[in-house]
Amino acid sequence: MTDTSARGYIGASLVVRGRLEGEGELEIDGKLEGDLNIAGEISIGKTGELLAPVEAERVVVAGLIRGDVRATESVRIRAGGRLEGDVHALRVSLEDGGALIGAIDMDFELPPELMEQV
Amino acid sequence: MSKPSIIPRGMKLVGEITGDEDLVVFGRVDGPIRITGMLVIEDGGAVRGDVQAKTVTVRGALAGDAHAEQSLWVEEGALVKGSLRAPRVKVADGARFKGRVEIGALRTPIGVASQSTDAGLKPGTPRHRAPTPKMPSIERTRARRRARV
Repeated sequence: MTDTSARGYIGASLVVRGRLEGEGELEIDGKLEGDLNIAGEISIGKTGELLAPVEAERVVVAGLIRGDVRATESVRIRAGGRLEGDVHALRVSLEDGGALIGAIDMDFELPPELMEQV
Repeated sequence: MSKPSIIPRGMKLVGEITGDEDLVVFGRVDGPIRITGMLVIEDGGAVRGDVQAKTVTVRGALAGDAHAEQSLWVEEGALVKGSLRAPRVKVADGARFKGRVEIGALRTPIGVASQSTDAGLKPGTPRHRAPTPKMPSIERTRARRRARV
């Protein structure tokens, strides 16, 4: 039973408004409006809508995210998924058929030879 | 029934939850919960706010009023401060409770002002009508009259 108690789930017709924070996994098929800060993985299903800035370890979106996303590990936008906002993460993948309206910053430096003044 | 929504142990929501779903709270919710499905506040879970659902089962902690359209169970180990209102209420031996209790039909029906569709409900299902208690003797007379016609 500890498994089910650790995985959050927001069903398709549920509407959550407010600040949700903590740790664990969260799957969203419904709607969350507000603020989300989870030490763990967040996955937005096809019917899911996340209208909030997000901070998490891993974010996977097959539905809609409208808000800036900061992930310590990775962000994955699946085919059919849509992210409207800026993305800060170590790894970002945008699958063919996914949509992103915003900037991606993977926080890295170009190799020195490219940085040299010509 | 589709799988229940879950606020897991380790997560806390400050805000409100509404919708046509079942919900199990293992974590913490500060704010009102208004759903048309079943609500369970599990052992270790805590809700601070008024809750409204088809059925309400409390095994954890609730600080707020609870309205249930059908039944309201306060289990052993539960800690509840607030009023309870439902046609059927059970408070188990070992539950800790402080507040008013109103057992009987709700005067106002429970409805959820959500944009959700009737997906999953059969047409004609009385979703927004609260059960009205009928006097047993009148019912028997009416039934006899109906049978004679």
